[in-house]
Amino acid sequence: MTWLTPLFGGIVLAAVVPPLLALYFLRLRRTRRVIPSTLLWKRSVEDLRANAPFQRLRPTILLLLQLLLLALLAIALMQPRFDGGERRDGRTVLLIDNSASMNVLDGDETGNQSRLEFAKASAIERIEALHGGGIFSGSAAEIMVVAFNDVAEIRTPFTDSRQAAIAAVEGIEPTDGRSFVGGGLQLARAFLTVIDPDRQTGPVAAPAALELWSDGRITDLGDQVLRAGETIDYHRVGSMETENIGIASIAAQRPYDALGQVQVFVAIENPTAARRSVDLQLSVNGAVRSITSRKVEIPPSQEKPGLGQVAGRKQFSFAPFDQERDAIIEVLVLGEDGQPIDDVAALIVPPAKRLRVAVVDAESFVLRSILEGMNLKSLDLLDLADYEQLAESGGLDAYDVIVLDDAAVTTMPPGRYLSFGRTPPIEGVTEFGNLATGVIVRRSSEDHPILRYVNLDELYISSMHKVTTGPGVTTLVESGDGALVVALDRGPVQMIHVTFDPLDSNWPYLRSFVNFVPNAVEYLGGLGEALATTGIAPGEPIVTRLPDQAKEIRIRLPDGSEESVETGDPSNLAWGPVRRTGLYELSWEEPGSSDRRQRVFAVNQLDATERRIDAAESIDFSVDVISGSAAKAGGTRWQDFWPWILGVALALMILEWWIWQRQSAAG
Amino acid sequence: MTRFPEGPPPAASRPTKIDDLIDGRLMARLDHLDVVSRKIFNGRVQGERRSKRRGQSVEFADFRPYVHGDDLRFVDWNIYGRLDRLFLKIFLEEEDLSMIVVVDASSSMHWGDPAKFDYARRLAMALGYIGLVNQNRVSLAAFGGLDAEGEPAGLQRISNLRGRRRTHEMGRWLLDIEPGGAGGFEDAMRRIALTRQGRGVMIVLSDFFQKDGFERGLRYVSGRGYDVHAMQILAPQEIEPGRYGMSGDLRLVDLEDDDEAEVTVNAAVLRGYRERLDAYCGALRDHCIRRSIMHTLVDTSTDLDALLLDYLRKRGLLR
Repeated sequence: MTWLTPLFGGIVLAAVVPPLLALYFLRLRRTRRVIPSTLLWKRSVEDLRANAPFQRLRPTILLLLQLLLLALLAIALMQPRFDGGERRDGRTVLLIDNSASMNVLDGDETGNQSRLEFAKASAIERIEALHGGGIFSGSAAEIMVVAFNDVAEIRTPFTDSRQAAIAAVEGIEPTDGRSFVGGGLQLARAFLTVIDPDRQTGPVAAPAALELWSDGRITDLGDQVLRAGETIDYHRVGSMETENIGIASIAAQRPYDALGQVQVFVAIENPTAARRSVDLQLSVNGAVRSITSRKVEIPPSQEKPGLGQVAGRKQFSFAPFDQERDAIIEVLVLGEDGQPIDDVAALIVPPAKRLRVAVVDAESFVLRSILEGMNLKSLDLLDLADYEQLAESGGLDAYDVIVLDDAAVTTMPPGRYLSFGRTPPIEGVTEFGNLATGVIVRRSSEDHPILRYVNLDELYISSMHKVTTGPGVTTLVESGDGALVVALDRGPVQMIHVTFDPLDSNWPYLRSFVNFVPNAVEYLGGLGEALATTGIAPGEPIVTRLPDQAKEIRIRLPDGSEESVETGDPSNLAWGPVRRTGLYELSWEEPGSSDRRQRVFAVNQLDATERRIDAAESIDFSVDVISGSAAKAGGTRWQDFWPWILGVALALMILEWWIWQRQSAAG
Repeated sequence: MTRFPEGPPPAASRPTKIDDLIDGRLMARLDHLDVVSRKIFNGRVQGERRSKRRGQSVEFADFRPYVHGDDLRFVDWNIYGRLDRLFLKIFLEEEDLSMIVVVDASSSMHWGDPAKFDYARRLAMALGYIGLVNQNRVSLAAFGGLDAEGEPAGLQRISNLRGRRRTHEMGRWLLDIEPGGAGGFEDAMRRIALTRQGRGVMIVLSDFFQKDGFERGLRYVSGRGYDVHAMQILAPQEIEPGRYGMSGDLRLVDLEDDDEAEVTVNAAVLRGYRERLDAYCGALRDHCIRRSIMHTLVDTSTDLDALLLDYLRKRGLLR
């Protein structure tokens, strides 16, 4: 039990009890009555008053009841509450997970409250318990509130204001993002670091208590380490029984020999221990195109050596269908489960078109042959001089994709590039050190479109350029010596860069190379615009190129609301980060045209960690394993006790009145 | 039902003429009554009472042998003739009855509805009248009253009244008593005892609420030849104050000495008061019995006719 305003109640008690006792000590204001003799009255009456101003205090039931009544009222004013934890002074950081899995409606037993709502309620109660003081209280805990999904956000820095902390928690909005706690921990540690300018010692991180509200499905837990003095309480939110299956990836392509058709690929994952079977529904531009004729069987998750529990996975291909024009493709897993947002995934398929490709400094016969084998509109072979000249004149805009075959280019105007070998002169990819030799692949992002059907297990690289990557650069294939394939998406400039010359490896002899090059060219070029937009995940920004003259730019969100987009450079437009999954419709006007042009972006939550929604019993930091306790809120939330005390006080008052009536009115 | 008195009765309600004390109708009914003494007492003149003193009365009582010094006038010469021995005839001597009525005129009596003092005056008037018409020697005394200047008057007396013609004088004296003093019971009883002339009947009309006690006062007059009647006069508001609306937080002021008692009157307190009153009256009664004093409790709401003609006859004071 805690007292919200203990001092106030004490003050009231100290203020009212002495006057009450004084009233009993002091003589009452009485009606004067003349009688023949006080002889008998003096002998018979209990509460005779002497002539002295004070009398001996006589214990009466009325005084006892009144003292009890006052005590109860004072206790009620102290606002006693039962809570789930003890009050704690010092600094406490509340970390609240607002990732996609926290939107599951199993926060309470009724299933009407999401995990996030439950976590917020629980955290607010915790704030009140930690704070343990009202306006009259003395010391109070300092509380910092951090919400985290893909990024961490400080809702409020350390504050001793209970209201501010509660408002910070209440303001946390749900997102469909992934769950990364590392940023939150970094922020907390940054605020906990004390730098005393009067002392010459270095910054000192004050020990802090961390309290985490989450379902425990946090992507980067394994990368985090609790520091000395840090403690963390894991308030588990959500049921450990809730099951879910979801779409792990979605892709669409126009068959090489039938560009007027679209084929949709989807992968379903089942992180549960039971085999599941579902129906899949394919919609095109909002109209249902097909539903699977028989249920798709998804195997259960399995324990695999070295990998732990691996979700069961089933890939499914819809039959190709005619679609010349661009289209919004949507795949829906029919049936209900715990997490609806990963039961639907959408992507935007651009209209069918054939690409114009230029190859600069084409040394590789294999590369040129592969490109020539593609159904391109044109394939031009450029030497370095041609490239530089076209770059200067803007002639490179005529090409959908420019392939740099270990070319030593000096400039990279806006465009889409597939680069091999030499490190291109672009910010974000920086070469360092000597060439690495004898390199093999350690990890590859198989879900990325350019790595579809690309098996790099047998790839051996004799030498490669070692590079570091900056913001906006994603490593798709990684070796022990650094990135092998990186993707850069910076609005007007989009690039896939392979850090080695294929001729310095056995890649040209592997089938994966034959798949990789068309994938990359189509991704960057003809299908690039569409596939790039399908790659948006919650937490990432929408980045696109609009005509320079675009104005009145607005974006319609999945919930139907519309926002105006202010930008000074429409050709390099970024908006976001997006928080919720669904379709975002960007529209703008161009001079001379009354029609608004539109571009649709699909935002899908396909993260494996978020797909697993059964609350984790414990969270495993890289060193420490923190066992969780079910968060307290809702049914077990701690209660205000003072209304009950007031009720008892009222009953006492009635009892006191009744006794007084009996004693005085009768007779 | 009358309310609880706020204080002494207003002057307008007090008796101002003798008819207010005793009217003709009551007089006529009292004419047939006489005061009874449980003893026969000596009187100054031969009255209508038989005395235990044998003497010169006409009613023969006994004989006894003559001894030297006896009055030869009472020798029965007839017996001497027959027996040749001297015997004296002993006669019952008839004496007048000395009757003294003592009225408490202290402030405590000047209260109630009907007021205790007024009731006592009417009762004293009636008893005195009975004594006068029966040729008894009637004296009246009052204590605790005030004189014309409003000062304590001490013991006031009117003595040796006899015969119906003294009725007016007695009534006038009673009407002139001004109540309002404090106590004085013991002193009055002592002075009456010291100035006693002969024996007789003493009737004390008082509420006996004496803070210094009634015992010593009664002891002065008991066992000294008086046939004492203690008539304790109480107002109904004293006997059952709860019935007359006495309740709440009160500051009770004593009429006699302005002593104050702060009381929250409730059922328990009223119950305690009644127990105390009963105990007080019981103590007075016991004290009286031990000293052969007749104790009678009189409620002022009792009709005076009924008291005199019925109750006091049954108690043996009147016949």
